[in-house]
Amino acid sequence: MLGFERYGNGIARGMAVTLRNMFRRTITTQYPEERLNVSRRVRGNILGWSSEKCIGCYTCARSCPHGCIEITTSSRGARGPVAAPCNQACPAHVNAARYIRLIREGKPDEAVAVVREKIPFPSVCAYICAHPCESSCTRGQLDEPIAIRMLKRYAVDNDTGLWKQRSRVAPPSGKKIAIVGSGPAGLSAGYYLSKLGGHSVTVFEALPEPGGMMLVGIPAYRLPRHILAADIKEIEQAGVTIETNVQIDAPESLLEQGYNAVLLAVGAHEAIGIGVPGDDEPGVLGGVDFLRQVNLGRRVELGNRVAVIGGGNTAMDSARTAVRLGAGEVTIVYRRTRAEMPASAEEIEDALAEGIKIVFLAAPSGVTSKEGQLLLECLRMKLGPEDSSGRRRPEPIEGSQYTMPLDNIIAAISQRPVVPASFAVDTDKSNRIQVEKETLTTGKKAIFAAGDAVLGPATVIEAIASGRQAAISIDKYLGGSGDIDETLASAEEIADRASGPSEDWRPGVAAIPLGGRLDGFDGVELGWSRESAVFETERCLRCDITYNVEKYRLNGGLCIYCGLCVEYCPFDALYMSYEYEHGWYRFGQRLLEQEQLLVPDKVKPSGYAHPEIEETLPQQTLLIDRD
Amino acid sequence: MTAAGTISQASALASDWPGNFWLHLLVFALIILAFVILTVIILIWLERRLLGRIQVRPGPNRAGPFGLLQPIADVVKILTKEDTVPGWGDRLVFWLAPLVAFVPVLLVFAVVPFWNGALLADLNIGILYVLAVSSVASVGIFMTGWASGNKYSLIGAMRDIAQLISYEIPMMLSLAAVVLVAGSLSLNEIVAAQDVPYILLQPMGFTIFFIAALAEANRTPFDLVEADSEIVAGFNIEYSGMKFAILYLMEYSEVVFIAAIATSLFLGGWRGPFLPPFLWFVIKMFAVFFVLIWIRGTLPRLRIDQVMAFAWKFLLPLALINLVVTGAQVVFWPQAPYWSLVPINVTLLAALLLLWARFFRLGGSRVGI
Ligand SMILES: Cc1cc2nc3c(=O)[nH]c(=O)nc-3n(C[C@H](O)[C@H](O)[C@H](O)COP(=O)(O)OP(=O)(O)OC[C@H]3O[C@@H](n4cnc5c(N)ncnc54)[C@H](O)[C@@H]3O)c2cc1C
Ligand code: SF4
Ligand code: SF4
Repeated sequence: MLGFERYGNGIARGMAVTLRNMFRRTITTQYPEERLNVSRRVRGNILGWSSEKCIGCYTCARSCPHGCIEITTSSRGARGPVAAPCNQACPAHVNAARYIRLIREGKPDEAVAVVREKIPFPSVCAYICAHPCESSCTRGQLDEPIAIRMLKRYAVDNDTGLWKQRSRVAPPSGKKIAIVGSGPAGLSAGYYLSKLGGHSVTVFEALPEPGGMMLVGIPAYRLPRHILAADIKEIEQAGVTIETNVQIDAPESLLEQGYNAVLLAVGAHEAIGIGVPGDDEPGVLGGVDFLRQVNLGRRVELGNRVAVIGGGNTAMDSARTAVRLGAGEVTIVYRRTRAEMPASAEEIEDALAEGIKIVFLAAPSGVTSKEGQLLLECLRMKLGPEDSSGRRRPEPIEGSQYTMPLDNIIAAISQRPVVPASFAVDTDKSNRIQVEKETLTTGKKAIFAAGDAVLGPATVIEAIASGRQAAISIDKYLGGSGDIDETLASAEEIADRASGPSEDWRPGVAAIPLGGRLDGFDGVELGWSRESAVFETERCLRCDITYNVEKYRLNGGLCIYCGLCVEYCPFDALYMSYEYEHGWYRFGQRLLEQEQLLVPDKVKPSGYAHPEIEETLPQQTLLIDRD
Repeated sequence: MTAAGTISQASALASDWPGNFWLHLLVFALIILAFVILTVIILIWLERRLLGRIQVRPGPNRAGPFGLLQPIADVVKILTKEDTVPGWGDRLVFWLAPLVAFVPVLLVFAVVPFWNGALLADLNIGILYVLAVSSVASVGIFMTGWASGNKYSLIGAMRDIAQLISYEIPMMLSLAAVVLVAGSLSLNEIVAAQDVPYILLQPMGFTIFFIAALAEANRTPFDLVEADSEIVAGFNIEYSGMKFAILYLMEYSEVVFIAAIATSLFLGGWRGPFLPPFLWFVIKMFAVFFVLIWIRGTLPRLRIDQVMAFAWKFLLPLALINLVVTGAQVVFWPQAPYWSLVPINVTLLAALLLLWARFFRLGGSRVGI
């Protein structure tokens, strides 16, 4: 009997594992700020794998806590049947998976060309995109999503302008289009209509400079102005005329002036007030109004103690801007908890790092002013049951009033579009212009609408996607083909894959030190070096490429049927049955003959992919609600 | 080999430092108390942090920087808990037990040299004293088990006694070998005699000592005295408040104690180049802590039959062989140079371990306790 050898070996390996763990990055859930919900899933006994669906991405192998899945794939890949999740998640369908590969191959200029195929604002997006792609990135299920935005930033920082050589310009069509509003929606639509539709486009902007919310909302420390200016210049070079300081009141009159179509892309620029008695006291500012003043370089008098009401990105931007204007004590008041905050986690972290305090579970109930200072009266809140948006509804606690003495209050709760009655278009109760979903036509002939004016406050990339949609629709309306796609990157050659994706976490992102940040509006985040960028690209699982799987083995002796692999597989290539006894028998019996995965005759996929049967499955959550 | 070694007497601390016998007692009693409590606090923090890292989570990190104040928060929490005495228990014994358990552990430190001559009492029977006094702690543990009037407490306490008696024997035999090599029972002299740390000269002795010490201090994988999954919390199940705090302190002081003894007897104690002796002592102790925590984070708990069998069938014979071999080396080859003894003994350790592993077999028939 080889007792000691076996035990000794086991002990030594165990000690090695624990030692290695000491140097790994820790993972934790900080209750109650973060609540981890694990979806319902199935445990069962038959685990099956479908060779047709599997693309050899290694996700399952890496998700398995016991390392019992072994995959060998060919190194030659081909384009798979479905687009990568990142690509699908992007409102404008920018092919992130592809440009990540190009960056890895050392071709940032080709990567920018890939981005340019879908959006005219590559640099802006590289700096401030809300990156829905990262939220759906497969890699995020394993550890951290690929830092797609930072990779794009690396690409635009190292662009050589290669895309211009392949740029297509349509012959003039002789049609004239007026666009109201120079935000991302208006400018994107204008760019495509002018460049690929051949129409002559004029953009009217009420403010002295073009850019919309990108200019007057997003602060310069997140989006440096020269970056925005460069993207806009490219659009002007494509033939778009921008007329600033022109306020449009009646789109009908534009049609009378000879324009063939009008696009309303007026954004959402009216701050919604706090809605409590006294919210019109002097010293109470609207979030976007405040940012607009600052961003247009106008003087804004701010006192030392500032409270910002709200929990979205506008609140974060207002607070961080206030700090930069010299306010010493900035407090964000939010009525729910951090877990429910709509602002992005990075923004919250940055705000906290810059010394901004956040008061959770408090809502204003009144404002009074006394001896030149404002008194903000707040009520403590507690979280009640979930509302329709899935977030828990805050409920006031009786008699928990308290007051905060302040110099200024900034209401950054939300925005709504300003649609003057003279536009004569249908709006809903949040003032959003009502359009036909597919074509973006308003009730009026030849008048279209796009961007935040239709969506309500959204994101730049959604506005761009909406602008593209409007461009297609307007081009078709004017008798064009509606084809605004162009091929700017060279035809893709899929290089051989040397090895599976790397095991590492994201490299860190450098930022200018805290000390240097607060007295100016310089860009906070610094870009990546080539090394960091390539390092990051190596983590990508290449979800859109299929590799021929030569060997797929599950070590039945190690598998604990946790079902994680089934859940992680982005392509539904794995399934597990819940025929416990039955399955066990069949699986067990054949396991003895051949140690390989068996395909059961009845395929019952996990609830992950089938929400309709989810109700009947046992629910699992890691943390129990205690309050 | 003589005990004097190469350390000159001049560098040793006078035995009545700082000048007077009673003052010496007082000062060292305070130093020891402070040292033990401080080390225990650091140890508890270190253990929780390291276990956290091992389990890929940060460990306590809210109280103070890096969670450094966590032990203090814990102490405050424990001390403010209600102090209860079980109705069916034996009140007097219940009160006394934590003290009976804790004091002996503290007493052991009287003979631990922090550097040359810096110890409360340089007893010429140091090791004997250590073994004798430390075993008394088990009486305290047994008292807790008895006085709680709870079957789980009693089972825990019984396990402790069984474990202690079993492991005391290989431990003593392994220390006897050290005494043979050093030619003295005084800890300070044993340290002074270690021109080469005895972990190299006595690899087998160290292995046996270390395993036995783990068992005596009820550390994983021998923590079945307090195996939650079997006997809830073992001997201290009925304790709360201050009394629980003392038991907790006792458990961790035992860890400090085995680290201190391992350091003194096998790792060269306060000896080492460049750094001040006291620092060497502490560094080595913390190295031992690290290994203890590492083991705790890795190995699962043994069953009681495995524990017993391991002591009697594995450690005891090896300890006997080690004693005979060491005796032979000391008698027949007293002038043996280190460069030949070290490899010989290490090879012997490996050979014997492998050989014994083949003999060693568990169970076969019924299992008791
Ligand atoms: C503070 C803040 C921070 C944000 N941060 C981000 C971020 O980090 N990432 C992200 O993706 N999104 C962010 N957004 C959202 C994003 O900026 C908007 O969703 C996007 O700019 C909307 O684009 P749009 O073209 O629809 O409208 P806008 O960008 O709002 O442009 C509308 C333009 O129309 C002009 N206009 C309005 N009425 C008239 C009129 N009658 N005549 C002429 N001109 C008119 C306005 O002056 C404005 O310039 C942020 C928004 C805010 C407020
Ligand atoms: S792993 Fe790569 S290809 Fe897959 S979703 Fe993430 S970025 Fe896209
Ligand atoms: S996760 Fe799915 S697609 Fe990816 S290798 Fe595993 S089975 Fe194939």
